[in-house]
Amino acid sequence: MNKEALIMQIKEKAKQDENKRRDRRFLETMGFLVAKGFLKTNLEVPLLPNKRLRVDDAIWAGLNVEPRILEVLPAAVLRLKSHFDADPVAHKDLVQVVDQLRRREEIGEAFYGMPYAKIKIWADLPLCDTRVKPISKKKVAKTFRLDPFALECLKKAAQKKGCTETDILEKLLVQTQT
Amino acid sequence: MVIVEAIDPESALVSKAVKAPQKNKQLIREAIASEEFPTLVDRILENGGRLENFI
Repeated sequence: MNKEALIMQIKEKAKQDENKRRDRRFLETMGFLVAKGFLKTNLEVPLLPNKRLRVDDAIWAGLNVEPRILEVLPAAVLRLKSHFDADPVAHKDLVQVVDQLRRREEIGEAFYGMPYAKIKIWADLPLCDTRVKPISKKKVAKTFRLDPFALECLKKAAQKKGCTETDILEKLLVQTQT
Repeated sequence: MVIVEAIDPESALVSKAVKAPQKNKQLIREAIASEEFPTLVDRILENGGRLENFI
């Protein structure tokens, strides 16, 4: 196919793209991701920070309009789980990548051609809503069986310093590393 | 010290079209269709890009 014919086809596709940018699935997905600080755009999209999204809609928007959606989607699902209807059976690939991000694995699966290394970056992106912590800053629950005397010392130290017992342990551990 | 280099929009589009055509498919299509960048297509081809990637 010659250059002119290719350009004609590209222009035709560009017209289709324009229609797709007006699709509800794209506007809702972008509206949510932009409102939450995952993406930036110069398009006029309604900001929808409280929207609950269908994963299938977000994937459609990523495949058909804005590929960056596919890059941020696993991290968005991990960090803002209640806003998505991710299903372990219907969205097996997505859930697998989300689990790898949660476990902070260095190497993981690509998602619709997006390499894991690129997807991983978004798990630690600071968001506008500071209540949503980056994955690397999220506290991890850990259980210890402590000697009663050590436990008493820990409680007293926390009361004396006016902080939590976890803070005392964290500070002591950091001190041993420096 | 941070060195910041600015490039013109057409060069940025050429770079995106050649290095990551799949990710920037819609953007390049929009740029070509707008006809605001008269040498964009030629520069993409000169730099090893393929127009077939944008169909």
